[in-house]
Amino acid sequence: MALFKNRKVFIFILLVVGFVGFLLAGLQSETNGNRSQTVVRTFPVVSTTLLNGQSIESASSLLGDEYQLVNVWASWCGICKSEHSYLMTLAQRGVPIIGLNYRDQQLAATGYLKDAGSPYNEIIYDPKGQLSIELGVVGTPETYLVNASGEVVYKHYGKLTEKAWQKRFARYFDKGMTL
Amino acid sequence: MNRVICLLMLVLLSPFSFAQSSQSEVFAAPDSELERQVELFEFKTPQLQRSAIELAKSLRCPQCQNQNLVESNSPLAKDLRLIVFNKINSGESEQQVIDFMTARYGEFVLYKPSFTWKNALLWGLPVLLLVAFLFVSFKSVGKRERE
Amino acid sequence: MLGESGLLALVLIALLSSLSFAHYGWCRFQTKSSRASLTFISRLNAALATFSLAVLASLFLSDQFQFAYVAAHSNSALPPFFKFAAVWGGHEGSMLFWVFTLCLWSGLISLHSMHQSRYFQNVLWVMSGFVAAFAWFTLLASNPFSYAELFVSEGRDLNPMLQDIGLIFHPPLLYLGYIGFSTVLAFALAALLENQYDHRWIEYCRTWVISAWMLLTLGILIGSWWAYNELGWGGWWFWDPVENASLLPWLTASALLHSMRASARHQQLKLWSLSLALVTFCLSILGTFIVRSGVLTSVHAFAVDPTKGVALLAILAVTLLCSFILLFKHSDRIKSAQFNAIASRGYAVFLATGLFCVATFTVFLGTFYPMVYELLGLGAISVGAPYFNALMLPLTIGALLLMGLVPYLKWRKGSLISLRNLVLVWLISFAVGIGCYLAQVKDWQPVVALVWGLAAWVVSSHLYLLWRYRRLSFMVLAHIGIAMLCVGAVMNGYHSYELNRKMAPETSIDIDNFRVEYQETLWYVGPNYTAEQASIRFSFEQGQAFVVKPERRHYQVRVMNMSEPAIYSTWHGDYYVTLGAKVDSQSYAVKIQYRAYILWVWCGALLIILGAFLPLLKQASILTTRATHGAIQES
Repeated sequence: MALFKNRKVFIFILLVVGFVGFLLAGLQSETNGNRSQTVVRTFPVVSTTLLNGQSIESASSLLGDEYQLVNVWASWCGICKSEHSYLMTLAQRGVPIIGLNYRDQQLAATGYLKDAGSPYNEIIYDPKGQLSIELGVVGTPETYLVNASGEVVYKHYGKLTEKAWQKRFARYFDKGMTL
Repeated sequence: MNRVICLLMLVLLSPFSFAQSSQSEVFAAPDSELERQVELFEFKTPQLQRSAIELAKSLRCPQCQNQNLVESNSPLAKDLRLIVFNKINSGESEQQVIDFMTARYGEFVLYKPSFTWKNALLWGLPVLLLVAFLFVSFKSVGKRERE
Repeated sequence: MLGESGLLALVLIALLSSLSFAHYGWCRFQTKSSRASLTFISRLNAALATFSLAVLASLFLSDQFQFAYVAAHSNSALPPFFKFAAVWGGHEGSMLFWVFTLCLWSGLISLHSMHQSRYFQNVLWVMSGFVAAFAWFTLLASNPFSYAELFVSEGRDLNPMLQDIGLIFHPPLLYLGYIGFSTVLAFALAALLENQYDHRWIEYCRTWVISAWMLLTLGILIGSWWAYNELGWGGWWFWDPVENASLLPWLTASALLHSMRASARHQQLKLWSLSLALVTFCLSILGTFIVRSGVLTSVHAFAVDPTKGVALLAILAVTLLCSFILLFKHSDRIKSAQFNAIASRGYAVFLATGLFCVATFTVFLGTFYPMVYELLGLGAISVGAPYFNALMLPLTIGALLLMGLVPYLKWRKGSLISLRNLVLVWLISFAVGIGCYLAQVKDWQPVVALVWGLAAWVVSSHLYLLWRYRRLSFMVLAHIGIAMLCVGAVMNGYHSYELNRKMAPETSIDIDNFRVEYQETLWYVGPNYTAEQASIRFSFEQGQAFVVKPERRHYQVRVMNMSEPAIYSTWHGDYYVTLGAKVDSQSYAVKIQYRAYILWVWCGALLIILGAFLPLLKQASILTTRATHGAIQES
């Protein structure tokens, strides 16, 4: 224990513990890469097309409700498929969800929704990913919480689960929409 | 039945062989029109081409495991590369392109960290260390000479 | 049956090393008896480890897909050459290779003529500690002999990116180097374990440092060369976290090579040598942690469960703490001689050591900074090539300046030639260097010109040394090699260019002073892929012509497309052709790149490695003379 009296040793031990702790924290950290909150604060005000072929002046005109979800998905995305049933339950509770079909083919997308059901009130069709670039989409699935004035309140990366919903989204919606 | 499940799992799992974030997927059908545009892009002058490629190399692909826009073959990287090429070719400045990218993806996509106070330690510490070393080593020699 | 024997060998290694470590520790430090000897166990472990690795290799070569690791990285259609390389293509196999390498180095130490001495037994003791730690880690957390959960009749094939000759050599050489530094740490630590710190550990250690450093340099070189040839866009260093991880121990080992000169002969920089010897292997452990834990995003990283990283961190923490606390305990009693003058080779060596350490710190900071940033909640940021290149440049310029000066300086004080002559030589070499550069390019860059001038000066100084002392040395070759590498690197950075053109069979394009013709497209079937191969002919004004054949390959099992570049090398640059997307039924987007001076990078690195051979050859000849004349105890 005489070692601990030596100041240099003590400082060194602190440094090592600090460094190892820092690396451990890095391991535990759920984020891996660009998982910081969204950079884009306003929903892009660009003209776009819907999956049903209709073209609209401004994407933000779809934002009718006080708060709504914008879910980025694609028919080729396996994780989106696993998220789908949860989105259906949300939709049944009355949560407004707008779909953003990302780099997909129209036929594949409509076919998928016909089979699996559609939780979406409207679906933006973005085969070349142009709107998605404006929004800062990095992969699928992603879910954005957007309010009526086009402000992006929160961005959720990956599969939307009940846990994430309760923690981050539930407070913005009526009690009746959350269980 | 078990064998079918096993085979199915193998088929489904086989493309996912890279070290990837398990949170999201990045595969999409490649757009051949886009590929043609970005790979055969015609610049007005060779200097513009050179600076566009340099800039694209200093920008990070937002959905890849540490690749720049030139290295990566993901659809988003190709899209962004095309945007960089178009902007530089039409006369926009490097800073404008950088601003465009950071407005959508944040500072994460810059391989060259910005010269701001937040990054003062990053840019400054190595320089400080070098100066400190030179100073201390210089003094350690002087000691003997004075004796 | 065979697989189990490999596993048994691994278990034996773990048990033997732990038991002998504990036993020796108890004997030596509690009862102070000197009867315990680790020589036999070190050699036995080396044999067992070789056996275990050989078993794993045979499992691959005989397609034993009931083993999870084999099934994940091999396929019956994979050429045997690559089946062998797949042994270290994944996490588990590479950890077994770690254990093998540790045991091998340990066994080599036991062959030293003085292995019976107490000092060498202490060295073996430290090594057995590491063997135990990593053997248990491999056994419990990354067992290559575990069975697959699903029995498959066909494996998942080796990642096509790894199916290249570079893969056969890059990881083993890298590991041999990385882990060779464990011997350096063992030598340093054993010296600190003696009651009276004995400075001669440096003499014993020198061969091991040079060997490990040489192997690591070769490993990094091959990795770089492999990336250049495989990845299709002509880069050779990317400042990727995993690459940086291999660079960190290389930089401190290079610093150690320099400080060792001062310590061994002139009693200077003793604490520096000790610290560097201890920290290098710690950085190796850190490096392997980075690669496997996924804590830093990288294209190289193994896809592993992050919790495995915790065990490696524990090993790192224990190593760091034990080594440096012991160092602190002794540090008051270790006194080094001072440097006499600024204008001395000794001080220049000190500066070199410092430059390497600053470089190490910079790479370390740049690699971990994004992680710190994110953990502090400040967001996500990236640190990449522009940062590292910007900060390494002044260090490199400083290093070149020093290297050019050093041959003229005497160790203690003064120079071999007069100041006037020194300035004259400097000016002339500088002019020659810049002249060579300007003669070649039209749009010259000041940075490149500066490097050319300094490199010419380094070369001329070392040629002077060669002329004066008539002796080829490690320093001469290594410094000239570095000068060459620097010239290659800057030329490659500033004077390469690329062109993208749509080409179809029977079309040609004219560029500058040469013409490129697309002759034909061939389709063929490889062992585990199908390919489209283009035949492209370059013809120059001067009459020179050559044909390159880039390919696009489709690997069926892993469902991956790979573009295989075709390269034609000349002394001043590589013509690097890749076949891009198919734009219509006949045409492809062909990318033609000119990668300037890349051969200088490879040759410069090879010169450095050649330089390292010299002291090793000398050591080998001393050993053989000693062997033929009978064993003579060194005093």
